[in-house]
Amino acid sequence: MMLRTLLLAALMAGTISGILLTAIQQLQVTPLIVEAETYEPGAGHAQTHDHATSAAETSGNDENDQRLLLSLLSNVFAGIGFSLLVASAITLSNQKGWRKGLLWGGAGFIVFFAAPALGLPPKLPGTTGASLLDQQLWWISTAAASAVGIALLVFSRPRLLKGIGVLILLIPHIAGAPQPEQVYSLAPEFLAQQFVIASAISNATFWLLLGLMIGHFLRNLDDSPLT
Amino acid sequence: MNISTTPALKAGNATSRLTASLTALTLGLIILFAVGFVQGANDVIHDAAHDTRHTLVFPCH
Repeated sequence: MMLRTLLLAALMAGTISGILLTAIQQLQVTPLIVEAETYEPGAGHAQTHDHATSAAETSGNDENDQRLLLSLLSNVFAGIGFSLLVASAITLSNQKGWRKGLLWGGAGFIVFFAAPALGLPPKLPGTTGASLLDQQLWWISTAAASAVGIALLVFSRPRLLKGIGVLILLIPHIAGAPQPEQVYSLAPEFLAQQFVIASAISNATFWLLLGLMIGHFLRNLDDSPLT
Repeated sequence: MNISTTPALKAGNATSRLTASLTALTLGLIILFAVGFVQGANDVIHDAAHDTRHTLVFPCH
């Protein structure tokens, strides 16, 4: 019964926040990505993959439609995935309701956006980076360390444990994110800055709404006689 | 009347809460790994999730 409540709440909150993210993305983020891709040399990419199916060539409505549809789909999946994590944390700590949910959304924003972005800032296509695997490992370690660090800081009573929490939060940034040997970007600097801002706004909206909905749904579904 | 049943009920609740939470956690991590990290044959998953990865700051390139 409880699992069904969790899954239902995550499915609803994830789908809605994924759709909302797509709307914000279309307005604020995708235009910047598409513009950055115009600086990439033809189909030959600065990095190791080509964008044939992600429509670097923006001509043709079909390709744009396909790109939008695939983004919507992956945004909804990402929304459901993150919602499942938040729903799991809220259930474990037994803190339902939209107000608490909002706080959990804020924590999600820090763990999965702000902390990783401190070392690996939001990047436009055509920007150099260290090897993808190194970046991914650092990203995962940072998100995990931030989650553990925040949990210790917020939920533990003894000062020592809180201190350890802060230390765990800082470790990935002291170790430092993997950096490329040469830093350059094909897209101009102002575009990169716009992208960081657009990305931060999209993520903040996405996370706060996601947390709020999960908190709300978990409480209301729990009270409902259907579950 | 309820005194003898309540602890057992509570223990049952706690277990089902833990099981449900861990199941949701595992499922969530699997989905996120697919959306955020898997490249797929011919980069097919990377290309489909491309704009999502850039927006949500998953390392993409």
